[in-house]
Amino acid sequence: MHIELLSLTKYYKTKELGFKKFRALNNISLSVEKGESFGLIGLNGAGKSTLIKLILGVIFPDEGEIKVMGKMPGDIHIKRRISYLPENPVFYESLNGEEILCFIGKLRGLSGKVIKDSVYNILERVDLYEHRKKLLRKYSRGMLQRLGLAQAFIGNPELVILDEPLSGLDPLGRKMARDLIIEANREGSTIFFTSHILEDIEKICTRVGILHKGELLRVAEKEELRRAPLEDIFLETIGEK
Amino acid sequence: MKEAFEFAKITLRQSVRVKSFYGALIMTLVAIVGLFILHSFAMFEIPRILMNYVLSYTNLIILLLVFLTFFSLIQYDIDKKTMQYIVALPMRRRDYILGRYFGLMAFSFIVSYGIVILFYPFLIILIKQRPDAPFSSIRYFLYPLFLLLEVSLISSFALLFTTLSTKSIISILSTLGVYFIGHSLDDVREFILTGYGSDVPLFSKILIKTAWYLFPNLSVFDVKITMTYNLRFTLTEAFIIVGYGILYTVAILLITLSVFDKKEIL
Repeated sequence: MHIELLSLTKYYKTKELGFKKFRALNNISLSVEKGESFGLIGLNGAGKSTLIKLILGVIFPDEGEIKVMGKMPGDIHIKRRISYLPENPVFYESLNGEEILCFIGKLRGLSGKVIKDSVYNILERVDLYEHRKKLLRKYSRGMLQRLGLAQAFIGNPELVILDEPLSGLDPLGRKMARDLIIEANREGSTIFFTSHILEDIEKICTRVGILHKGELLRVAEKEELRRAPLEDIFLETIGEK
Repeated sequence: MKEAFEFAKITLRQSVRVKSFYGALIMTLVAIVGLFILHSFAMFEIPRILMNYVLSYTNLIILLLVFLTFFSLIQYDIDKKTMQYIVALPMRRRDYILGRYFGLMAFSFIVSYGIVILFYPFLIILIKQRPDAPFSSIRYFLYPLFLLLEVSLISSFALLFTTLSTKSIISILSTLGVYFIGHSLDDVREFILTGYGSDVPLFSKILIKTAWYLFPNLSVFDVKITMTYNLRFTLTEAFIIVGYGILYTVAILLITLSVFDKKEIL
């Protein structure tokens, strides 16, 4: 099991002096198997990013338990095997693409010639090789998203967590990103993927969770996804159909 | 520790690419011209006046650069939420704090010693023309060390405030507050202890005394006059100042690490 969530609940303090609490996630239980490609869909504010932050150990649960590869999130040995692409990737703009990727490659345990080869290889895959020496402040939104994808796949992480990975990309970029994700999954990486765009989820994921107002309403299995369009399943689940 | 080292290198790279760094380089070239102008105007005690000028300039530039660079870095981390991404990277939370601290210290070391080394040949040429007062190269090169201790302490406070606040402006203002309090508290305490302070209400006296123990006394690192005028400065005094700076920095960094370890990065 790569991700195991047990009765997970998370509250946020509201802005009124923190007296009121808003329940962002309620009693979420879910497991994602090794090598699986799992998609999480939901409307804006459903709690998708909160769930990802909990899995990464950036924030902590109020109730319930999280296990990532059998350990607590935030464990350094586990973190070396995980990669993450945030919804709006903001990297240090005074660095260039190559420096960012080398830094992350080193953190994932790569070194020497391997790191250079891996960085150049992934830069070519995301079509940024020519821009590798350009400072990130000169990158467009789409280029930053492609760099985000590159950093997520450098060093062949075992678990790849992607928060809206295809937003901001043009049609060619979307195809490239989809291919990259599918290939990584085929090579054994577990994919945990959130998106608003159901078409992308349908193309990439084998199992889909539907998160609505902080609750995991349904997990659609492969067979279900084959039988009906995801849009119908989603709308029916959230009660809009 | 390898991760902290890698992040320190990133911090150093970011620091030398902040625009104010290039501004400081240009200012330094202008300041070298200023050294020659000062030399032509000064009437006597040339070595002391010139050394004081260089050390004051180094002090000003380092503090200005460290504040500007650090604030630009943490503003990015806090306001643009980069910290969320950094914390999710394969490094421990403490690596972020230590990487930022050591990266900034390396930057301060390079800039401070860069400035004094750059000025040194010009200083020697000008002093040799009118050597009417003693000049100690050892004391000249020792000065940045004490300046770095002050920077180290301020940086550790800046990191502490970064971990405590959710808005970079709060962190920036708190750090500036510690800097100004740290430089004036000793004088204020001395004032209330002498006869001049007899009118100060008891509550204010207690408040000032408490603050004197809580806040760092940054004026101890200001050894410019001692170095410039060749005043008595024993090894014991030097060790006490160095020890004070290191211990205080370590204590603040430990508090910062413990706070950051439990912090939710929203």
